[in-house]
Amino acid sequence: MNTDIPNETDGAGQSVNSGNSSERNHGGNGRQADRSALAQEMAEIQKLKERIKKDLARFEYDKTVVSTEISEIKARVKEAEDLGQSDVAKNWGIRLKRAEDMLRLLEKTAPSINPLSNEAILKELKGYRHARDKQTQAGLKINHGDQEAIGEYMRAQTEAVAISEKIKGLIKEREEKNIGIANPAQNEGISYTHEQALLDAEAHRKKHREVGQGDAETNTQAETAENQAGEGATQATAGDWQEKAVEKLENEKSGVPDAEFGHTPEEHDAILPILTDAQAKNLPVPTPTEVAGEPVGVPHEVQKEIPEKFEHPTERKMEAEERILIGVANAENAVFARAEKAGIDKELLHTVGEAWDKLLLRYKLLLSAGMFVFGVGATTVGAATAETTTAIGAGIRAVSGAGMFVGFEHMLKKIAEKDGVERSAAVDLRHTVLASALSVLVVGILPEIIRDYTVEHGIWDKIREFFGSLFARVEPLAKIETPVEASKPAEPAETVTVQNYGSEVPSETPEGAVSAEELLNGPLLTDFSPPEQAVPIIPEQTVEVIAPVAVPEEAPAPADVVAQEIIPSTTNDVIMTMPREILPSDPQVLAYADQQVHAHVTTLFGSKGFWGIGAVDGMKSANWLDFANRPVVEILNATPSAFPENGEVRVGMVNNEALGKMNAYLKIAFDETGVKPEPDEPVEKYLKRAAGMAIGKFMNKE
Amino acid sequence: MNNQELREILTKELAIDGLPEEVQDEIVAKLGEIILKSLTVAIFEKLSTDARAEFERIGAKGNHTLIQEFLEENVPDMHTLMEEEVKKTLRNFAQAEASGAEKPKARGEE
Repeated sequence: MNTDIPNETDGAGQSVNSGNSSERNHGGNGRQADRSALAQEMAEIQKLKERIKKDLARFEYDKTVVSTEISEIKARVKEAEDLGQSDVAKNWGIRLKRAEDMLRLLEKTAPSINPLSNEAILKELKGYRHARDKQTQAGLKINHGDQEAIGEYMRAQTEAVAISEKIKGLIKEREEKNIGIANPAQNEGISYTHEQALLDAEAHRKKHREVGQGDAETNTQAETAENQAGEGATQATAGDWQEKAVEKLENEKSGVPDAEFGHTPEEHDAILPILTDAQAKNLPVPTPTEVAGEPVGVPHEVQKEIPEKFEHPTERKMEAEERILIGVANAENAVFARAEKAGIDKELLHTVGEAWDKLLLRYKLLLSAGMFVFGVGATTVGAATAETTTAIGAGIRAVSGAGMFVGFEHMLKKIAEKDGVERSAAVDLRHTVLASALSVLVVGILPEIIRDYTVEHGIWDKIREFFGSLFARVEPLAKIETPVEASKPAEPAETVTVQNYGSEVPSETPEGAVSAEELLNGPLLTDFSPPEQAVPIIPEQTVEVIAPVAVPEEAPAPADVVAQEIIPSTTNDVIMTMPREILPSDPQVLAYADQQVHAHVTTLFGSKGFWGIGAVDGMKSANWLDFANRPVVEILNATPSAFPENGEVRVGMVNNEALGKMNAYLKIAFDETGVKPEPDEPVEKYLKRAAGMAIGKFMNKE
Repeated sequence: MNNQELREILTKELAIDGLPEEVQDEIVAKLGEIILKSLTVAIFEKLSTDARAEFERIGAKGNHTLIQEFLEENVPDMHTLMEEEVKKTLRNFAQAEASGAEKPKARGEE
């Protein structure tokens, strides 16, 4: 007997395990391996197993992401249904179906023992998701009136269809190859190479037939193996299986999402916003604003051992973002858990969140920065300078407005200076932050005072400033070259970028014209200048063209409005290149007017959501939909209704907060544009007309 | 004043410096919201059931002075509260983020 050969065979051709680590019996095919070949084979098997494990982990991760997306969308559907927004719920339902189709497709692409096949499918899946994301983004553009995005939409759709066909082909190909083999996605896997597994399966059957095992047992074991393979492979020969597997695949076709993933023509029409005017009016499609490629929500289960290295850097980034999202969500849940333990109504925290949500992003960032400095201490936060902390305080104070904020600040100052000691800059910041936070908090938890608060005090005064300037701020049709730098005095021959109109006091900001949204949601980087640096409207001025003014770089004192040095000039000194008379009814003017009103209404009634999740276009909100077609005078003359009972949801005219905002906005529109509403003129029509008139008026200024 | 410096400080403190600026803004704003909610809970934890009812009654009147006086009287250590809540929130965020904890319930499932 050759002891060097570990897998000796007995008389029946079966090998005898003699302490070999592999329990695999190679006797079935009569093959004998020497020690070195076996060691090599084991090493290869180990490598393959590692790769399969990695594929499995990635597959699980992808599944987790999509499952989370489904969970979030279901929550949105529920929210919309609770609010009675059937169209919104319907559209979320369409997205839900798409995500569920995606998950089904994903599950069918569970990693098999063939890593190359896994890779190919995973790669195609990524491409599919990317195509669908492009399609969604194009759809959003179309919803916003960009008809040119239709081509983009169709191309993305075609690409997605092509890729889905490709995936189906790959799945089918894999099915045909991996017949009767246990799928590692469903169990640990009993085979490691395709060929070896086939031979082992055959050996297994042969063994049992030889020792006279009953058909039932053989069938049971074979069936078990086949069930483990998950593909319903038959127990006969490979050839028989192939036939039946193909047949099964054909039968399963209905389970595989089709090109359009099961969308009915009505659903498809709802997705593809090529609607007639009549249809468009009756189908207020919300515009979910999930960002392509970003994870939606928080995974249901986070792999504790996500592989250290994914092949693509974007996956690592997504993993980091996912973890941060989890951190944020868990931090919030800790608060809710504490509230529940203390017997505090969760609804209270929701209303605080809503009050916070209504704030300008700039304000939120300032206040958040202030709170961090408050909590961790200025010295800990990289020794943030006194200048910086003062600037944060100034910024918060500038936006917080009067009323409650001032009251709280005064209260805190009184407490601090009981001993007659002046507040330091750091303490000053703490008071400012606390006063501001308390203002928002109280507004949040005591909604009955919102109407008075918003109309009489603070926040809406500041928003009014933005609205006032925004009605006058638009990118001109004929942009003139070379804006003059703010620091330089104007020279007669220089052209200027004319930005303002309506108030007849054009002026310039250093960065040029900005859109309404950009102004309201500027990034943190440039955010510590209080908003008074935006040019205020000076309606009394009649100078036709104003050269750029010197805008101070530093944040001014909170009580001061930035004094603009206005250098009058004559019309002849400025080169205007207006090609012709611009009418308020010109398509471009109307487009600008639409854009402005859209931005304002989104600020009033919409929501950016969080990472795009839950974002709501203001024009599709329940509040706006109630107001849009009502006569302007009805809203101006409305009186607040009785405060709602706990849990009651009111929108539009019967929502005091919304009514207050709408009322204020209409007044601002009238004040800033001078355009009076016609009798019974609906709100939306009036606002767009006012904006269009103001734009047209400016453009035609001589 | 150095905006970039402050942004770097904040984002490093929160370990989000590798993310796009827009995303950083959203995280910072969201954490601010959580701190505020946390402060709300902390304030109410300090109030007895009667005091809570009184607070709501005062709030319904809409008189800011009364509200301030009430808080001054019933929650005198507001600064300490704020400091604690900021630290708690940042700690929860950092802990959960570091451990890759299990996903909390999605909204709507609460």
